Amino acid sequence: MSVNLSQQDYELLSAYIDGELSDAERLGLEIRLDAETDLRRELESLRQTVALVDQLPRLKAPRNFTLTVTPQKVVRKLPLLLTSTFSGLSAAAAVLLLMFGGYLLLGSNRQISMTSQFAREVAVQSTVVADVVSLPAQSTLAAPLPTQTELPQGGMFNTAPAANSGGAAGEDSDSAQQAAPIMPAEEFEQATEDEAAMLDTFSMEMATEEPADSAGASVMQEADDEQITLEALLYATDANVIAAAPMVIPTQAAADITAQRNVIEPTATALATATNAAETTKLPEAPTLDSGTVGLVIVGVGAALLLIALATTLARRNARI
Amino acid sequence: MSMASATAVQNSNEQALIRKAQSGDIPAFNELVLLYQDSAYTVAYRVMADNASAADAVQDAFITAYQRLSTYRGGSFRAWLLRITLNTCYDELRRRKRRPATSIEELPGAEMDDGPALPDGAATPEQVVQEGELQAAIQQCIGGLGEMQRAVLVLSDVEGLSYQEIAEITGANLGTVKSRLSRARLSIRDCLQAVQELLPAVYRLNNKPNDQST
Repeated sequence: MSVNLSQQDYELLSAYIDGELSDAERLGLEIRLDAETDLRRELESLRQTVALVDQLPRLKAPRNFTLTVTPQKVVRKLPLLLTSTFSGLSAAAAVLLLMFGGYLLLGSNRQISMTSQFAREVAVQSTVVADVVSLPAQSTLAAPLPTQTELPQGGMFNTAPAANSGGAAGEDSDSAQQAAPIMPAEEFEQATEDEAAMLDTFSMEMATEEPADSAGASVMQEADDEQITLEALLYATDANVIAAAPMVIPTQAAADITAQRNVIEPTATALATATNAAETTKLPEAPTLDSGTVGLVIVGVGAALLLIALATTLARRNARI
Repeated sequence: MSMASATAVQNSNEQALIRKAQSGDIPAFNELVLLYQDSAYTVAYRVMADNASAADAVQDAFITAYQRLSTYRGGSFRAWLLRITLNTCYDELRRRKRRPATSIEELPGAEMDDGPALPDGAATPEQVVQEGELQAAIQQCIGGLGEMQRAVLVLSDVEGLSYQEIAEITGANLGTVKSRLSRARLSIRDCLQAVQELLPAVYRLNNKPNDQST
């Protein structure tokens, strides 16, 4: 039918019909048209097609498409406070604050009740640990332990507070540990048995003393008698604690003690960890009141924000009506 | 087509109108609408192949044109307007393609530049002509073209625009315009073969040799 010529030829013919050929192209084509009948025939049929399409009636727009000015709804910009964004954001912030504040409140409540239970827990722990300690005590304590005369207790007391600037519990155990000499194996066993009862008393005392001690290291420099008492109570445990404790013992004396007491370490670990954990847990104690207050404040702010969010939402609804 | 002087006057008037419209003068814009709505509707109708779709396209196109008046930087306002009209039609055609509605566009190969010569629909070109509607047959053949070919054919052979103007409107280069147009014409010719044979007299009557650009 019509596919005698190449696409290129058809393009030439098509452009020729529209007068879109360059002079050179047109001349070349016209020469060919004279010579090639196929080309002529195709040209004619193309022309007819173009004419047919061209004679399609010019259409008139069925109606006018002019734009009309429609009365626009006054888009009042709401003041920032009334925007839904503000309400949404303040509501979200309120929720977060309430959650956070509630968490703090609950946390502080838990802490207050915990310190009272703490003594009981420590007692339980010490009992368990004492058992653990007593078991291997016989084997590990075979080697003779150094005597207790090596270190002046007074000196230890004085240096300990200066060296320890951490929490009160830490100070207590550190200084007491450093001052305490090591007991012979037999006495150690005895000490561990007594220790359970001792620890009960001690931890009670610690619990009551904590608030006062947290004030500063100066407490350690008070009556030596008191110190000695504490030290005696902590003796056996401290010996083990020092050897195995992950706490850094700053003074040189403490380091010496540690070296001497290395033998005791394995079994002491459990007790040491338990005691330390019990004591250090109590460190963030003073702020029990503060976190509770903070929590209350946050809850209050959150509640206020929530009210604001509700108020702005209602106001916005009213503004739209 | 029109007198050179008349055209010049018209152009300067038109430029004044355009400037006014660009500064927000809606009545000035509406005067432009009245000037070009036939042209826009013709193109839209030939491309969309039905009245309702064409009217919608033209309305949308004029709204878009008003909103984008700032993008008109001189030159043929008609070409600028027809470009918007064509794009509006394209958007609608593409939207229809996504929906499983039966339409001409669903013909296999409709998306390619070489659209099928035969249009879709219950009536073949012969039947349509037998009902006395040559124009409708032609329109159906046009509808069987791919979008690009259809646009170029309508702009050239229906609206009489130059290759350059068509290139601007469609965003294609001259070579592409030439090749699309020639293929479109071939397709229409093949599509109308049957009609030609049925009504050779009518065909010949309408045959006007036409080597100059109009």
